[in-house]
Amino acid sequence: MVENLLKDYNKRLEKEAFFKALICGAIIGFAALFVAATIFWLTEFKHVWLGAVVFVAVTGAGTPLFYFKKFRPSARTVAKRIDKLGLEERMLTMTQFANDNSYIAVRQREDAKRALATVNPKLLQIVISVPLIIGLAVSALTGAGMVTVSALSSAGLLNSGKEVIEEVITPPLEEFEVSYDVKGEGMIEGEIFQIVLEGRNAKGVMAVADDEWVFMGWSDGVEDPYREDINIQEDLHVIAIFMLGMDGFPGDGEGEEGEDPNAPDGEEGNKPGKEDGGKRPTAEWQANNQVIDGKTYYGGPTYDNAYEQAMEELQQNEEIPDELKAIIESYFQTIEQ
Amino acid sequence: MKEEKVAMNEQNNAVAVNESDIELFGKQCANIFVQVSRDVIGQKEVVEGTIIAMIAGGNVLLEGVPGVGKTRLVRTLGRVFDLPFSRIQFTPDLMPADVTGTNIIVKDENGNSNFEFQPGPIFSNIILADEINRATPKTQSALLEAMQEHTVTVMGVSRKLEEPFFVLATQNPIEQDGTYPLPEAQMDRFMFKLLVPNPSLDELMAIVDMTQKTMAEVADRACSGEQLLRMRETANHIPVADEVLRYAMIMTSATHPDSECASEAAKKYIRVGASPRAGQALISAAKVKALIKGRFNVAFSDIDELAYPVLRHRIKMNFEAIAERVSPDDAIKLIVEEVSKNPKYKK
Repeated sequence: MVENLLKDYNKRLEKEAFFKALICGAIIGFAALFVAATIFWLTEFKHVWLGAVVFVAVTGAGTPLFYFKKFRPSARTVAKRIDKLGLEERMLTMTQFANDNSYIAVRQREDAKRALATVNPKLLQIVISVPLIIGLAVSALTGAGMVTVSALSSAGLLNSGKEVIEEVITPPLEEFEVSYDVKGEGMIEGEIFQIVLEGRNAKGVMAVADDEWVFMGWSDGVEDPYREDINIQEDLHVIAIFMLGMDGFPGDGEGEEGEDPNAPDGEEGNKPGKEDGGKRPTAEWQANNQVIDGKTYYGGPTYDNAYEQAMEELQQNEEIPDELKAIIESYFQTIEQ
Repeated sequence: MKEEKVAMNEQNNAVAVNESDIELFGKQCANIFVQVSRDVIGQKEVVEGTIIAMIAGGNVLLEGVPGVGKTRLVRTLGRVFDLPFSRIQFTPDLMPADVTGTNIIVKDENGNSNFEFQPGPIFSNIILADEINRATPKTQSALLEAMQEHTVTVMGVSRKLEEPFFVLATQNPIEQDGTYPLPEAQMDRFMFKLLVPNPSLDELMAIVDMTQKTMAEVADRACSGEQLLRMRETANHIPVADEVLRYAMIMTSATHPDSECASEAAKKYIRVGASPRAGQALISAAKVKALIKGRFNVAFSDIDELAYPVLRHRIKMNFEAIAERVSPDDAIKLIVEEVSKNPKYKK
């Protein structure tokens, strides 16, 4: 009986309940869409349209669930809503005591019916709460936004999630300075100052000596005039060392000029004279790693071992005073340079 | 549970309430108001509150400055309800025995001395405890048993008071010298504390005009004590929805600063909240109020309106409230606003 009485009001509230359920369904639908689009974006999945299928499926499943589990109006909820129209809990009391046939309960029902007759069902407006609307707007915005991102990514207009994550996860590479300088008369072909990322390679450079000067090697011991530094892990500053060529090299004794068997044709090379005691640089030594008239003179370091040997002997010899040791050491260093 | 309730309700109704009861209630109520208004000018809220409490079976504490018609109202009610009426003027030297009565030695025909109980003024239906706060706590407490149990115990013998029994007490809020504020236990036994305001200008003119002609009280009998009991029985059958009952209990609990539904006002201003008697009083009074309004159910608005007279003397304000001059009514207003606006309390 009470149900019949509330039929018109119930219909309106059922409508309201359906809208509320639909909104809630759409909210979780958009949430699912957001999740799906995020997965598509991360996995570089191309079929973004599947997101729409996910949205429809989740909304479709969620709406009836919300309707029957949460929003479907009961007689009590309808009564409460009607009471808010100024019926002072008459309907609420009536629904609770619907099965009570005592005189006062019957009178209460009559009173409630009279009061209900004065209320137009249309006054019972469909009310959707603001938080629900805000929730829908936020979820729609995020869901649609993520789909857009995913679609643009699959079209190649945006980085995919994978790429973005890699960029984010990989720590930024450190930059190192690589510079080349010269000592003596010569030049370096190529970029003498470079900024190189950690682990990357520097561009190759070539040390080229001026006339009458020869390339002696790089300050870090590299002898090849062409160098291409690889796997840079720190700042690098190297100097290409040039020295005056063989003609101008000062010998410390008057040695006889000999023939250098390795010297280019038509050229007289210097070879150690007798008085030099083998200490004077030879043409062969001077021509090491040099290109002269198109011919490259290869050879190992002549004085390297001698210098190290001398230094070793010097250190071990306890008879030589320290002052003298310093002078001899300085001398050898000059030669070494 | 629901079926049990319905069954209980039907059982209650089996012994009471029919069409004539409802009609009688309406007629008598209207008549009571008419008759009281013949002697008491204005004070509509106070009159209504007192009548609600009397129908619901509660005691009333009337607080107001001298001369605003407190005593006249009580006297009028005694006449309107056609009930024996006693007035006890409370003074510091009033003794409990002066209220309850005492055993006196009487000699019978044979010359033997016997104790005979001489009933005090409390053995009446309507007691006007005038300026109740002027008596010592010992004398005030003599009323406790009578107010709650409707019995009086003297020398180990308990005597039942005749129904209906009401205590309508008055107190003056201004002259506090030589007074003894009522203890909480006694305060709690008053269903309502009603504040009797000064009459408005028009009411004052009407009062002066009326009393210039005659000081006699002209109100006629409107109903008998039995009819009053019947009206109480009728009102008790008014159904209360679970939501409304819960709302009334929340209103009571919200006055406790440490209850689960403590209101912000209670947390800030109240030291001790209302007792469960406040909840009982709220519902009993709300039923009567609803029926007086011609409604057969209790509404949330009834609870909101009755919260003031039911709770104002049952809450103990804290130091902060006193410092900020927040009255119990101010605190109750905040509580009512908070509770009524919280949708979860009306679920």
